[in-house]
Amino acid sequence: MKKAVVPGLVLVGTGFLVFFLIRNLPSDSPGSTGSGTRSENGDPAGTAEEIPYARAFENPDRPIVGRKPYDTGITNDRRVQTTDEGKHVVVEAVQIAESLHSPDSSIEEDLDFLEQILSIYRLSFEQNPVAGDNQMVMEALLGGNPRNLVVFPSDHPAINAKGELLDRWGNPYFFHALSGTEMEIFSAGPDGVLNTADDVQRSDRSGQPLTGAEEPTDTDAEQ
Amino acid sequence: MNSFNIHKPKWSRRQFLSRTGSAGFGVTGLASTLTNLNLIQNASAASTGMNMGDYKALVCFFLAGGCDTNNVLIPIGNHSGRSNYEADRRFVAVSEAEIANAGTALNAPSSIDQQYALHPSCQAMSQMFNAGELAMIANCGTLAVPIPENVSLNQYNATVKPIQLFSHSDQVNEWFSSIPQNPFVSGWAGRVADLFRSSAYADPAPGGQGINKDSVASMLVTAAGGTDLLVSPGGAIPQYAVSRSGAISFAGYGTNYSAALTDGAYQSNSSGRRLKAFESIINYQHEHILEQGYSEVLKSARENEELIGAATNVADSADDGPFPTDNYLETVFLDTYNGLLGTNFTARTQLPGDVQEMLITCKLIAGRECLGNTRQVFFMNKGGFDTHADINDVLPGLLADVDAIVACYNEAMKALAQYDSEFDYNMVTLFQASDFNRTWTPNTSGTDHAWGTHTFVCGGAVADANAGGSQIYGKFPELAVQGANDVPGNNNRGRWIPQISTDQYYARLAKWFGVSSGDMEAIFPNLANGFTSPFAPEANLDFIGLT
Repeated sequence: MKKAVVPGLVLVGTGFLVFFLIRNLPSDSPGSTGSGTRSENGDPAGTAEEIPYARAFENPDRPIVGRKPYDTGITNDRRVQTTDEGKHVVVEAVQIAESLHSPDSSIEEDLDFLEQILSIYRLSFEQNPVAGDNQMVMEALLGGNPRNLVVFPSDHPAINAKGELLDRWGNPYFFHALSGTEMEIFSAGPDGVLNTADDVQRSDRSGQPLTGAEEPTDTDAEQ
Repeated sequence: MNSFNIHKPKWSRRQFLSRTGSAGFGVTGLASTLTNLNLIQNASAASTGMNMGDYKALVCFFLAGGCDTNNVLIPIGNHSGRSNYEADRRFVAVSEAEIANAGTALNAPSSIDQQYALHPSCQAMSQMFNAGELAMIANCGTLAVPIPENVSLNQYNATVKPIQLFSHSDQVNEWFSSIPQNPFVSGWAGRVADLFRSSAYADPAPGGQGINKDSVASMLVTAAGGTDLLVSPGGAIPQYAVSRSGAISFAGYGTNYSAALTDGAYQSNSSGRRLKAFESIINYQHEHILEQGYSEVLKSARENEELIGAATNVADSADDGPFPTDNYLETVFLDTYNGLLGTNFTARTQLPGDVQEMLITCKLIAGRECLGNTRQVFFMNKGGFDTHADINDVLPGLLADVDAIVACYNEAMKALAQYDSEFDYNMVTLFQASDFNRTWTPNTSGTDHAWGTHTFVCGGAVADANAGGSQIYGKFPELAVQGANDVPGNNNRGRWIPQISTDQYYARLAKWFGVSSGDMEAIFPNLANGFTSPFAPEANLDFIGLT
């Protein structure tokens, strides 16, 4: 008697689940080709009204914020879209980049946005871009990396002709690789001159200048 | 002022155990009880003819932050790269007039037809070069495999490269480990120390406990805090950290325990009782291996303060050491430093901290017999070379300090050789290292992280190999953006791909130090990856005598 009840319950449960999913499918799904990073109507990704996760996943015009970028090989994954050039665009990171330099935000928030983008890059590579300056960082963020992963839009207005990312005053950010996972980011501030009082930095430097700093030793104290 | 530590460690528990043996000075440490070592079990016999009984020491002088050595070894005169130097380095370039005023041009050896100079701040070093006591090694850096000149971008991308090129802490670790394609495990000097525990390195062989069989102290000493260079496999050989004045005593008991001890006896005050209780506690035997190890580290640190005191006393006391007057080495340092920089310092404590680090290193070399080691490795550090901005304001002063430190070391070793009949000038070799070189082309006011760098070695063993005048060893890069040595790609700023690996550089030092040819790849495994033998003439690395 028990042997017959259990499969019966499973069958009924599955039926309810299928009914629920079909009922919630969007009318214009599916059909994603996985190319491009923006909706065809030009809406910036993620700015539309809130929609259920399952529906957004199936809707090519409603990109969602993903959890972890990775190259799945699945081209219709809305979190990581593949362009015609074979680049894998991490939608969440590109959305963050599009928030950069907003009139409503501050330079400190810009630096936070950049760190968020780097953190998304690190989710995939477990390290920051192997880079010695702004151009090398941006080259990696724009897809010049072993997995062709794009975490920054190449047509962003803050990228200059040399491939450098500019701050809101039009001067290149300064990226400083402390380690594989720690990247200081500096803006030269309104005066455009690095290592001056109006610099804004995202680091643990405690106001210490960018150069000529005597590093601490562990044996300073005379006992 | 709070300082910013670019090498802030984030260690795992296992790494912590390996790297923090520096609290103790004894030849056995906490971590050695936890792990088995491998190098000593596989050591081959010491090479024939190597006299392992003589004293030898290596002193690592690390320039933290990535020194712009494009402005240390400078093309001048007829050098084919001089015009590019001026055109590409622009406001960073050092003029030939400044060099002429300082007199830092290098005597052109007969074997090279290009003219070079050292930075105008490096007057003493240029004189040492011209006397054959200092040699330059060009374009050296971290490499897992050789990367040829004019490498294509596709070849370059397909090549195994060091982890996180251009990042400070990774490149520092890789300069110390010399295995740059793998996460850090041990420093090369730590591996050498481990190897020397083998009976194959006893003198006379076969012996019982390796080359430092009479040791009462670690052969790995740092004057600049714990360093990965001296991390031995599994932490088997603890590194010992000394302060600028000598041993680091436990705090809270007054200078040299004067608040707690009188003539070696505990005082009846609270400090005396506290020290007595503390020493009783660290003498307890613990069942738990970590607790026992912790106690042993404290105990050995406490015990070996006396060793350090005895060793420094050899240098400080005319009665106990070879020198004719008290504090002789301090006088040598003060005279040399004042002479070069125009100061009027009269006391050790007036000298910059990094100069004092070199002073305590030289004192421990003078008092080496108290420590019982026939081989020692010392580490010292000078920071501030991360010159992304204001390089023209900062670098000359930094290099003047480097020049003074090297000169002080050199004069101290010569003085020791003069007064200590058991010591020869060629028993100690100083070698320099740094995170990386900096970009050939500047940014708005400084230079950024790059790769292959120029480095120097100096000492009597260098002079032995350069009796006819010193050389530019290795292969000096083509000084051109997008040239034969620039990292290929879209962002070319003159980041030289090294043509000499750290393995090749260090292998010459290790060979001089006593590592046999058969054990060389145990210390530097990447040498088997297709590099030209550092001992072959075509490597052009004959910068040090090997006996």
